[in-house]
Amino acid sequence: MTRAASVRRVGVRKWAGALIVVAVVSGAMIASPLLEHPVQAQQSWEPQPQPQTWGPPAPGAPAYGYAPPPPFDPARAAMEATQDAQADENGALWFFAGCLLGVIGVVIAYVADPTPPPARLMGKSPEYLAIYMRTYQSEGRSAQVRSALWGIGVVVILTVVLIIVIVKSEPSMMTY
Amino acid sequence: MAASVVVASTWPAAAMPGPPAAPAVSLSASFILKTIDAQGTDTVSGDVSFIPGGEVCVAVKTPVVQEMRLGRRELVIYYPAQDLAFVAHFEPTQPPPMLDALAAGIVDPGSTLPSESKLLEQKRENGNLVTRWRVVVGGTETGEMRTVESRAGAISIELSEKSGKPQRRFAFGDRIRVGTHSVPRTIVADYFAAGGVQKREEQWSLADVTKPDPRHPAQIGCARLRPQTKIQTLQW
Repeated sequence: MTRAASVRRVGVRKWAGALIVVAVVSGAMIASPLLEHPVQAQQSWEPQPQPQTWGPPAPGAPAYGYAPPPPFDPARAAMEATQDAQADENGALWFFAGCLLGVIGVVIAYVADPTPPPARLMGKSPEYLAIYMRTYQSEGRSAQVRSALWGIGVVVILTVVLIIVIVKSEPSMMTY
Repeated sequence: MAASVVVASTWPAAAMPGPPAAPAVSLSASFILKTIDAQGTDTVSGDVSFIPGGEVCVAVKTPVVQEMRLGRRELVIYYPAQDLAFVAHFEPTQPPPMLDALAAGIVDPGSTLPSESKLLEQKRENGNLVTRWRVVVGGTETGEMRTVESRAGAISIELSEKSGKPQRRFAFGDRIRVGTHSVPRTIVADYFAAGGVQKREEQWSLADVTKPDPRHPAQIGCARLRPQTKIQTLQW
């Protein structure tokens, strides 16, 4: 085997190694959101009931203590919680937590319980509240973890690219 | 004003460690709250009381009867019909939950900021005082607060990110004087997601604003639990 062929083989092996790392990280980043949606799996795809009309009691109806509660819709509670959690999540914060703190940032994102503003819980039934809170925190945590993983992923990719650039810019070390 | 410490802990997202001092706010009022967001419009009505010592009690009458007590260490949501309560406890380092729009309307805006914040500008515009603050938390600039105040109290408060995109905007209607407090009859609070996209609007209307007799405070909606009350813990 010639020396040139041997050098080429080493270069190809390094490139393949770098590509595998990038592929694994990218794959994890794509797959992670799919693994983090236990709530969505519980949602029903059956036709939804008519939207609730919440408002003051009808004229003549007794007020405090006797207002008929609005019909409870678990799918709606879960959907609203999911949307609220996604809207409330501070993606930039958790992205940078992942970038700067790495795995620790992801752990913090997983441990930190996101909480909705209390005004959102006013006038909701206990069943709604239980599902809303559970879904909100589950979805909010997933979103936090996702953003932190993106942070780590970007840092890993940049590091790999940087290493490749450095290795490629020093051909003398590879050939001799 | 001591109540401002409570507000500051949640409002500009400035977690201020340590328990806040007991606020002196003592008010009660009936309210209607309309919340408009991507899911539609919800209307809630009831009574709200600011209790001396730092608690806020809410008695929701419609659409579901509910009592809510927001304390500095505990949030209790109580359903009298089911004798069921959801209880969340906070660590001393955690900012307690707050009805931001109401608090923003009652306390002095400048006093709600973390102590490191810096006054950028103060000027008169059309007879109102316009003030800009740089919000600094833990030595880091997090954004800016702009307030417009008349002699009666704040007309508007706007919190924005460092990039200038809005985070929260409060607009206050005409005010009434109750004791030492100036209370707006209407509040419109707009909340924005990161990047400045509006995500929710709250419209508060207050009526029958009174200062309760300090000797006999009628603590309506303060979620007093009984020994047999079923309790579910909320993670907060």
